[in-house]
Amino acid sequence: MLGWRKKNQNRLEIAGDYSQSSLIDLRSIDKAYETEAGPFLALKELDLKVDPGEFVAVVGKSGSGKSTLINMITGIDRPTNGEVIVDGTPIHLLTEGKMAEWRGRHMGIVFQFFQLLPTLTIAENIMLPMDFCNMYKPAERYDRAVHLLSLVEMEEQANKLPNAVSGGQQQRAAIARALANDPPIIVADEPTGNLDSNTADAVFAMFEKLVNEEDKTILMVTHDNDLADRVKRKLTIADGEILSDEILEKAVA
Amino acid sequence: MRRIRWKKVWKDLTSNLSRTILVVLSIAVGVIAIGMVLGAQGIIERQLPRDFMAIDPAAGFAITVTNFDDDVVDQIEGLDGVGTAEGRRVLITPFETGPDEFKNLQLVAVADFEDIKINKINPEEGKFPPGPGEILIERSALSPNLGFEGIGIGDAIKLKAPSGKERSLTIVGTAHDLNNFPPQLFQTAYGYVSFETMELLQEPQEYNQLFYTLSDEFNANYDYLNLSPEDSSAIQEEANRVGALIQKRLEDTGAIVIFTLASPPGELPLQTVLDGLSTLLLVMGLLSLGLSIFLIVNTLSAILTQQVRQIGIMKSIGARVPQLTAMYFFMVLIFGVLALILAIPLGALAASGLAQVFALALNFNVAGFNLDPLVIGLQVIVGLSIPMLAAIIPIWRGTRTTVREAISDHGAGQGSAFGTGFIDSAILGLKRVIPGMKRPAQISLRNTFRRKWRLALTLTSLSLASLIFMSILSIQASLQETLAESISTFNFDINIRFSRDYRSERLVREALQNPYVTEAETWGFGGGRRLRPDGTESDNVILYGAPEGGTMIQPAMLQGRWLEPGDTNAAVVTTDFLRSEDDLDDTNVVGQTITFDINGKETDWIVVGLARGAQPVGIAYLPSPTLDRVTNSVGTSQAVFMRVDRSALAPEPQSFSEQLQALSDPAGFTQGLPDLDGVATQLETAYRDQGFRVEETQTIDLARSIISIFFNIPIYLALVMAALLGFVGGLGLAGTMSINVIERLREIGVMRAVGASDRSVLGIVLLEGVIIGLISWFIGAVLSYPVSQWLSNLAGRLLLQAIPTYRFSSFGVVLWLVLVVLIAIVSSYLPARNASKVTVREVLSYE
Ligand SMILES: Nc1ncnc2c1ncn2[C@@H]1O[C@H](COP(=O)(O)OP(=O)(O)OP(=O)(O)O)[C@@H](O)[C@H]1O
Ligand SMILES: [Mg+2]
Repeated sequence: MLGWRKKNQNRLEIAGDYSQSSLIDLRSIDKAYETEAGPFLALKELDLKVDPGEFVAVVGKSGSGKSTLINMITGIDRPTNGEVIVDGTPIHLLTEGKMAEWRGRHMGIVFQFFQLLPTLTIAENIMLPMDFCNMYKPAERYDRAVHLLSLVEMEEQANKLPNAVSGGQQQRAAIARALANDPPIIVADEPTGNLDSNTADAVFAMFEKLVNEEDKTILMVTHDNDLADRVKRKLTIADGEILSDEILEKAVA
Repeated sequence: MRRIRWKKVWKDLTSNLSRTILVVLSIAVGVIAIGMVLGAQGIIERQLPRDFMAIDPAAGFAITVTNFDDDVVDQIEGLDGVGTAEGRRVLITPFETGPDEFKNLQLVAVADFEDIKINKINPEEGKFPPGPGEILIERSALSPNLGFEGIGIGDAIKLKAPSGKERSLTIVGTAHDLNNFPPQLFQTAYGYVSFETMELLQEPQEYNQLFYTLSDEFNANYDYLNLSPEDSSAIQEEANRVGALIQKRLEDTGAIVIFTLASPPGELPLQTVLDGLSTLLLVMGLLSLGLSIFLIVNTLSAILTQQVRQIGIMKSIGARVPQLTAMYFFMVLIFGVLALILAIPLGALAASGLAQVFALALNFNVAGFNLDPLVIGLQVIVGLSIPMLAAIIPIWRGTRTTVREAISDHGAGQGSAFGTGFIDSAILGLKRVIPGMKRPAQISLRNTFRRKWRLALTLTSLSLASLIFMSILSIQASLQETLAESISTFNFDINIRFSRDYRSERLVREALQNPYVTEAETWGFGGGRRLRPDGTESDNVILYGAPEGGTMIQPAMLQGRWLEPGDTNAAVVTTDFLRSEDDLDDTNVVGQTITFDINGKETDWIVVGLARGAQPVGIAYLPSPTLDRVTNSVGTSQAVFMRVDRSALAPEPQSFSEQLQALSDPAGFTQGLPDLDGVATQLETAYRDQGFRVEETQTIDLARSIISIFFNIPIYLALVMAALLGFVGGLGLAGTMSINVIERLREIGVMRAVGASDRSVLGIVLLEGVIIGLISWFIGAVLSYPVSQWLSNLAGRLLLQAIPTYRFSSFGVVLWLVLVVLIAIVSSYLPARNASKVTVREVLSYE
């Protein structure tokens, strides 16, 4: 399963040697938003390294810059200054088109709201990234989608439309979709924000399973301190800066 | 469909059926219009020219007052340039349509029906050829409105011959005479008989009409169906030359020729009417297409706006812009294909319907339903490419939204800010101007202006529809006014023309014998040709000699003045006359000296006025004394005009109950009094009894109905078009409103959450639709003033060959105001009802 990744890396090679960096490597990132009162710095000279297999929780007050940070890593937004190297690729240098394709293969993204396309069934939603990135043979895609759904205990709902299942189930389907192209990294912005605590627990447990059993690297923004305390590494953001970066030993247990 | 993304497109289409139908209809409207207009043209062009060539049409014809025989025909056939010549006898006779009721029938006598060489008459039904005492009726004349009420094949009709003799003829069948003027359009019935039958009617065995063709060099070497302009004018020139030769030869044999006329080669009868209608239809078809483009752009951009969030999600899972672009173009392609599936058969159906209407009115045959590959090809190109082109910008903008924009803007609608900009401040200001305005009304008003780009598109298409609708009604009003003017030219009630000159006093005296006739006037009547400065001759011009103080004909003057007592060489010409004269137009004709060839005499006339005309031929009004001197007919005339005391006639049923009465008890209702037709028959009978040779009797009602026909076809077409535009406009508004509602589902849910009732939600959406309708009405009304004037001139030139008198239809403005409000309510109702059905829960789970 790792074979294609190597090949792909070569294709996206860009001048400069970034191969020595960590899986995720943010180098002194500034992000400024233009506002009526002048530029507003949402991220300030932020440095961050994440290694393969890490499960990082990002916490902080509302407006502290968590989403902005996540958007840097997913390539959804670009830094004003600094470099973003993910899996050896300087994604801040990619064109929009390359970025979309790269993202589709290297990163699974889970949002808080509205994730699934309403007119496609759950399984079809999961097949969509494979289609866009031309991964897996078309004939295999459905089976793969059902397999991924079984990982999130959703195989029963495979052929339902998104609005025929509950919010928590939609969220799990979205996680399955994030795994569609077997990306090494999963990024989630408040994936449990909309869920009750039991469901949130279940979703969180799934992330843990992905880290432990599938070797995924996960970054997750959350407001839920209980959850945040269960991960290995907790990153606290305040005013666009990293306030603390703790390794929580007890979570290893 | 193995690829999920195509499946998504397809499912989007099927899951939002009403929207899909809306877009498909928008595209289909334009494509149907193309199919209808071009298809009808194709159907007509495929058969009519060939049918027309198959009757061996004449290159020209001559009509004489006196008679000529086979010897003369043989002589003419021997003339240089003449191919074949054939004589016919034409006679107008009244036939009895009821007790003491008569209608005119134009009898055509043919020597050998089996061997007609020029202008063939084809058998339709029943017996052919007709034997002695038998008659064939033109197929489209055999109808109640031309006097054949309850009369058909096998029945006998009673004719009154010019000799005064009455004679019954049996209708043995029908015939199709493609060359003659369409009976329905000209309200003339034709009957075909043999010369033996003419003998029974005591008519001479001689001709008074001559058809000719050109020699082989001009007949065989040309493909008349595809003449180049040069060939066409070469043939026309030759036909004119030969026509002049024939006229001279006829006159040499002592015949009095009314006129000879060369037909434009390869041109169908009534080609100008047909062309004018086609052009008008084409213009209207293009307008519908234009409107449909607006609709397409409008709905497609709305759909793309709605899809922004989904686009963001797809991008976040790896979709690239080219892939997304392909998906949305695929969607547009499906819209186009669906529209074509609908529009091609409907267009073809409409085309054959339209062709049938033309065929019926103009008396020709058309094949039925037909799929023309060329038309379909064009429909496919238009139906697929126009939506694609219209989609370029919306798709370009939609697919370029970044993931961040798509995710942060929680879907369409939220980003549509209100409160900035000039228009918004103006609307906020309105609140102060209209203090009593309710809050929901304010919401409607503000909502209207939220999506300014979409509003602009909707307004453009709806304003265009408004503009054209109101313009069409103004055109109609202008045509109606022009029609009224043309009709007001004729101040007489009855006109009788004779086939030779009689002393004017006798004619008048005879007319006044009739108790209902109050006034009678004789007018000179003749034909002439204009000798143009470049040496060519015009077609025949009808010359009326106006008696001093004559009041029976008073044309509407467009330029200059009417004839005055003491005028000698003054002339008033009609706009119809200008049509064929390239050097004259309505700006320069008054004051010109023009030369007429009248019975071989060249005379100069000074044009003192230009009058409105609406006739197929040009007319010049000349002072009667001068004309009489030129034609050697001082003291005599060929036409008498009469006014009758209408109040003494049988009352016309006015109200519905009177109509019932007239139907149930005709004798009681009319109190035994004659109607206008009755008086005309009395007069004609009286003249005939005194030995006058009556050529034609016409009542003003008939003259009016003939003129109206020319106007009515375009007027009806215009009204149909107006209705279609109303429909298209409504479609556009419905589209905008339903998109607006879908977009605002969330805030509608919020309104409901804070206590808005069904009715107030319904009201807010309806009012928004009405506001848009009213704005478009206003814009359309303002623009329609100049535009309708321009269009009315265009329609006039195309259909009447003259600029009509312009009338702005305020009725149209008011009518559209009412309609637009209705359309707005109807087309906003469904979206509004959907909105009022929205529950808070649905909104929260929406998407
Ligand atoms: N497009 C933008 N324009 C201007 N300012 C912005 C924009 N997006 C975010 N900001 C500002 O940048 C800061 C960081 O925003 P961000 O969305 O990253 O916060 P967050 O930590 O994710 O908050 P939350 O927990 O509420 O989601 C905030 O102060 C916000 O107001
Ligand atoms: Mg956030």
